[in-house]
Amino acid sequence: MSYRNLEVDPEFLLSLKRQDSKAFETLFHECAGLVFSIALSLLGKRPAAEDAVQEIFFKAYRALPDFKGEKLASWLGKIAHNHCVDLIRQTNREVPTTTVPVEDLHLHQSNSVIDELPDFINSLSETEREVVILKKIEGLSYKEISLLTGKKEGTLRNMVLKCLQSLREIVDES
Amino acid sequence: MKAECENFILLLQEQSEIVLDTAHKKHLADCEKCRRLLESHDRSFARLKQSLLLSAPERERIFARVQKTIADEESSKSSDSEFSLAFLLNNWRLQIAFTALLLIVVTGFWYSGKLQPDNTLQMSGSAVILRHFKKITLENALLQIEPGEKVTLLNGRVDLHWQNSAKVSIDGMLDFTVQEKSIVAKNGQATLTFLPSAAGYVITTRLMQVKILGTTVVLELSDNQDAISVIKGKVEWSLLDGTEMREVSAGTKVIVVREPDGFKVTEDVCPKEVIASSSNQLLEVGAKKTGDKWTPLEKN
Repeated sequence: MSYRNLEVDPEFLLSLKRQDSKAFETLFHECAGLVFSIALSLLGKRPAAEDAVQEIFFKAYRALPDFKGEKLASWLGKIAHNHCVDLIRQTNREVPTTTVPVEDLHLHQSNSVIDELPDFINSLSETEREVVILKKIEGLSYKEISLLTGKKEGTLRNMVLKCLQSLREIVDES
Repeated sequence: MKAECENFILLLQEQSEIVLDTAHKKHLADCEKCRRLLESHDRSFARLKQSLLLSAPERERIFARVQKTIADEESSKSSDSEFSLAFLLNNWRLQIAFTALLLIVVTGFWYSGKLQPDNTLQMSGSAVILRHFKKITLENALLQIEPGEKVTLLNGRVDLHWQNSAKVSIDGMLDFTVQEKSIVAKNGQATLTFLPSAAGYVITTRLMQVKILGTTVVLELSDNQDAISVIKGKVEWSLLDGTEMREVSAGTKVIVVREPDGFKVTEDVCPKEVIASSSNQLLEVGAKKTGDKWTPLEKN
């Protein structure tokens, strides 16, 4: 993935830390897909995901001077993940009947359904959806996803396995 | 489920882009369920990938919004100070307080400006002086002196002014330079009278240093001997090399003689009033007197 090339360019990383507009634009174009994937998997709706991408990149821009030079994907992904989790938390607060802690979201069926997505994905929780997308679409390693989501690699593997088993059941039934 | 089928699912679990090895290819050739699973997997994730795509116009639109948010924040940062001022000016109590504060600050600056020491050095009096090798007759006119400038008082009396007020009167004949709060005396004999406001000024000769504590002194300087007679008040006297220091009261004369093995310091008594003719007793130092007129000695 292209942002992996950016991560090894120290000059680019320095420019980013200085909030150089060109470097920031490059970062946006290389990483917008990853951030959008995280936002859409967690928030479920394209307009909400697009708004979130805007807010996430704004947050990232402000945080650039403090960027410690870790993996860009993990750093930006973590900002995106935390931002979307906060949004879900706020939504849950606004609906008094929902008392599920965000940390346990993956244990429950997702309330948000992405219209264009296949059923086997929509049958997963937000967190499971995020993990599957990061692994199978964005190609992150379990270690990277673990850093980003704060979940253990074993848990992440089980989530992906659950998705594949669900897919197998659909195949077996057809 | 067969072990091979479980292995195949584990392969799907670990890999993003599936690369089949020989064993898995062989298993797929034999297992229709896994073949269908792989087809479904590839199709589903390809569709999922398609659903997650951000088109170029969508990216541009979002990026434009990010840029606008950043620009808005930066302009609001810069207008924060303007906002504070506007808020201040819209509140009459704060307005009064602000005006009062402004007045205090302005008055403070003005007052401190008034108190700012005027380091101009001036000379006045009725005397004949040598300046830049030119003889000048002072007739109570004020003469500007550059700090560190060498002046030779040939005869008469001059008043030295610092900060627009007279501090020291020098009567007699003296070769000296004036610095702020200090007189460096080279040659001659003169009576120096310091006004009380000149306390703390320092006279430096080639052999000694005298800190004025409010006094009138007579300086007698020659090639190998410097003498100071304290007429009024007292001085803090020290040898220039710092080996001796003492306070000297009125009626005391300190004589320092440079000898081959060092300085010889002696004390004597002196009258507590200036003897009118004292300046005539040491004539050949820096200038010579012919009749009533002083003429400078030749410069080295």
